[in-house]
Amino acid sequence: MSASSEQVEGAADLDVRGPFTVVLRRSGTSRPVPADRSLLEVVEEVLPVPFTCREGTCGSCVSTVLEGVVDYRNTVLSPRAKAKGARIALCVDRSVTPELVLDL
Amino acid sequence: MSDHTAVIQDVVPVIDITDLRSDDVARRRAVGKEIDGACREIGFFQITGHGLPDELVAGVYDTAKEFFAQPMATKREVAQPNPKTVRGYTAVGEQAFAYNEDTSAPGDLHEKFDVGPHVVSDDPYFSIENAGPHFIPNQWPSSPAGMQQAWESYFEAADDLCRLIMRGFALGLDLPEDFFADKIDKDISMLRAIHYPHQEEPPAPGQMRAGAHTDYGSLTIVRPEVAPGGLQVFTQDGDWVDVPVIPGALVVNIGDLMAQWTNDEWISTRHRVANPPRDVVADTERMSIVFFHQPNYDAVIEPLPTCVAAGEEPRYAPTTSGDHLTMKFEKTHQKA
Repeated sequence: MSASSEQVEGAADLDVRGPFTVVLRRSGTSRPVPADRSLLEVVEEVLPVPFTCREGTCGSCVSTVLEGVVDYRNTVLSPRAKAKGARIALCVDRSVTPELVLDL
Repeated sequence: MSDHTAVIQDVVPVIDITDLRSDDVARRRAVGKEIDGACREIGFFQITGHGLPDELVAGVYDTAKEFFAQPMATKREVAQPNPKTVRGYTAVGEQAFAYNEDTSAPGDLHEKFDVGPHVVSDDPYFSIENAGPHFIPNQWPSSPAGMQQAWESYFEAADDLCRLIMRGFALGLDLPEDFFADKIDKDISMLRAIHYPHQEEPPAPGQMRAGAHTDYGSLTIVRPEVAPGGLQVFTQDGDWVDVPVIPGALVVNIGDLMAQWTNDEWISTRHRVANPPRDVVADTERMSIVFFHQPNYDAVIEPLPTCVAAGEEPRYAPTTSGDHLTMKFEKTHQKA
């Protein structure tokens, strides 16, 4: 289950960007995501990902989450999609859990 | 294209709107309620039984195709004069729909031609002093012959169709059936042909036929073409889904103004036009005919009382249709 919307907004306000590990299940690899880099940048080192805005508004880089809890910072996913916690905007979203497993 | 792009027929429902012309209000209301359901979930639906004659579609399609095939210098003779005056020709890459999200997206891979309403009247309501750019005359190229007549006929028919659909909107929203009538009787709609050329070269990273955006106005009617590289919508579940082209049907979607009017009970869904897959060897040229319906410039858009729960504040301050549109145009042409 994802963080509640209040927690998500709180996290964005504080602008806390902790490091975490991303596991790309289909690619069979994992990468550290340091606090100063976006998840999109890290994933792009492994495979090409569609993008347009790189700021969480267009939805181009939205991908599927298999495990882990997303720290939502995008403005493109609906409240419903954020409540389900199964999609992530790679360009701005972070992870609440130490590890995030993606269907990439 | 995202990995989870899929064709799901049910996402964008097909609605037969024949009964909107019925004498029986119960049948009209039933169509309104179908539209209401679609607008609450995805803000897109396809219509059959719309009555838009094939020959009007062919008239715009054929003249647009001929116009776009001319040399650039000829097309530039009717170039759009400035961002506020959306009349005439815009070349490939000169604008990006995604700009209105304040992003740094590269220019879209389409060229287009726009016309507005053709009103012949001495009424000062339509003058530049009062109406700003909203009733500025159209620019017509010297060729192809017959373009003006074909486009004006289509404009009129599409406008009538929008008035019919908005009666359906009113019924769907439990408003008096003619609620919108006096707000759309001097509408500032636009008719646009969008030409997506065959892509010889791969697009730049992040570049699309039309970047992700929401539409501005009350509703949009699209006559698509069966060709690779088409319309996709972003669902409430967070997936990009292809909208299938159904021969004879028109795609309808609502814009930001309608979402604002309904206090976000109806959704102005983000959509885009994807690039054709690089492995398609055939010609991937494609043209869409798009009618952007926009209420009278002085129509006040404020959340409908039926869409604001008792004791709650509306999400939007009142605005006018004209101010809302002008604000959007300026953003579309601003590179961040």
